[in-house]
Amino acid sequence: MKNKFASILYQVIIHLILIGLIFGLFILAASERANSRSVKQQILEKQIALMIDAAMPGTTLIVEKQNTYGNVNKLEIKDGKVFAFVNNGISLSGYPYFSKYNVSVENKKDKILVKIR
Amino acid sequence: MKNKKAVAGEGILMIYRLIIISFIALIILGLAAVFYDYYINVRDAEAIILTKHIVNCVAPEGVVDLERFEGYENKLLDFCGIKNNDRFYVNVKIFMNNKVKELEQGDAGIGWAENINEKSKTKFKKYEIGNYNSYYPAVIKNNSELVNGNFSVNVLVGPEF
Repeated sequence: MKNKFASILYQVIIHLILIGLIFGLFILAASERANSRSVKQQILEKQIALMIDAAMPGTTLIVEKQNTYGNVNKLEIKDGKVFAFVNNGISLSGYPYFSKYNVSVENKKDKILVKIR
Repeated sequence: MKNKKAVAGEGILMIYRLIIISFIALIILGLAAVFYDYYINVRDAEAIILTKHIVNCVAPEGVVDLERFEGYENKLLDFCGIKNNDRFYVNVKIFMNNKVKELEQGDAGIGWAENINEKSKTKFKKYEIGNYNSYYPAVIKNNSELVNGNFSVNVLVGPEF
């Protein structure tokens, strides 16, 4: 009798651990969505793309690494797109700009310079 | 022997339960993704900026020299050096002495999603196009003759995906 009870208890505990793990993973994924990192990243990428489009040659845009939109780890200009990496997140799609001028990025200690030449 | 069978049955039942739980968790994630998905549409702003570039390109210092556009009637964006121009449609109409010259580039049907929006009265904000129309007075230079005229610019900006 005691043995059967122990076996059922063992199964229930394993069940609970597995259920907890699955839900934990999904709650983590859902909270990633809810913490608005992707929205902040989207705003930053689009703002920078629009500023590049509107800028005249010789303009330098300064992006503070400690920004209203979080901690900007990196900014990349690749294939005519702006990629912003905010709060250790990754940027997969970026946002395209159409400026006819050359755009380059320079990383400084506490800011990122976007140069339009 | 009986005990072994029971253990196997329990194992199968457990897999079944786990699949159901995963399915429920997936639904929760899907709902969270739908509710928290937020798209910021900046295509109208892009259309205004592109219009500024087109106006500066077509009429530098307010003079439209028609000879410059020979052979570029359907390649206006290339003429103006605009990069990544697959999602744009630009149309410029130059009016002078009752004559009209048209310059354009891009797919005029880029606004298909907008038409659906209007018909269904539903806003698919993610697919909404950017649009900007403007009208400018200018001096038109045609065969070294200068005449007063004007031109209109229509810019459509389609989705980036």
